[in-house]
Amino acid sequence: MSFLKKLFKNDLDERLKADLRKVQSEGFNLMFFGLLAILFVRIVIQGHAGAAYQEFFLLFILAAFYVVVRMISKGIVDKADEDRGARRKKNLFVAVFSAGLFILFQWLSGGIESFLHLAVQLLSFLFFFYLILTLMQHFSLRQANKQIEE
Amino acid sequence: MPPNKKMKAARTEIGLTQAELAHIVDVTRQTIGLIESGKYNPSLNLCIAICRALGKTLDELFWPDNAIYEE
Repeated sequence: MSFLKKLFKNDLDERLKADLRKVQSEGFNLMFFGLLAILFVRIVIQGHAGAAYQEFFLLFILAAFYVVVRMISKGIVDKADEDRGARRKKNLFVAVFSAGLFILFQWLSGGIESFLHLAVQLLSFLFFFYLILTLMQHFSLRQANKQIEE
Repeated sequence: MPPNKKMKAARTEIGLTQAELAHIVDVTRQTIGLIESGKYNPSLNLCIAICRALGKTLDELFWPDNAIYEE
């Protein structure tokens, strides 16, 4: 047992651990955005069927979900002392930008049937994205405030 | 970050090598070298461990001489 403990003991000091974390984080980002880029090229540009890549989608969604949940639990989605009005403006800007990207992807993959369809998609994306951002911030701030109280 | 000459002076004063100090505070020799050359910002715990090993206070080793703090 002590042999196993020795074998798996992490002998890195704090600097090496910090460097290792940085390297792993960069590797994760490379894989995460690389996967996103591959999916984008295959499905949106080359027109492959999305169903053929569902396990990659699942992995991508799981990784994104994990990151978001951990960020919320650590209270680091947004700064706790930031002005509420500024935060709302920022959320709106991010939501509008993301909705624009979403519509662009839909258009590139031929998913837009009519103007009404486009408007409905745009507004629903905008609304839900803004809602999700606001909820994420709400729970993150609650967590941050809890940490401040502790 | 400027080099930490005070830490190096304190270490040589008591005749410790970087490797020996590293062994005492349980880090690698490179980490000690990087702290002394001002290329790594150690955690408070490590600062305290270094101070204990060298028999100095945090102020003596890590407080910058030219630090000006305004209200």
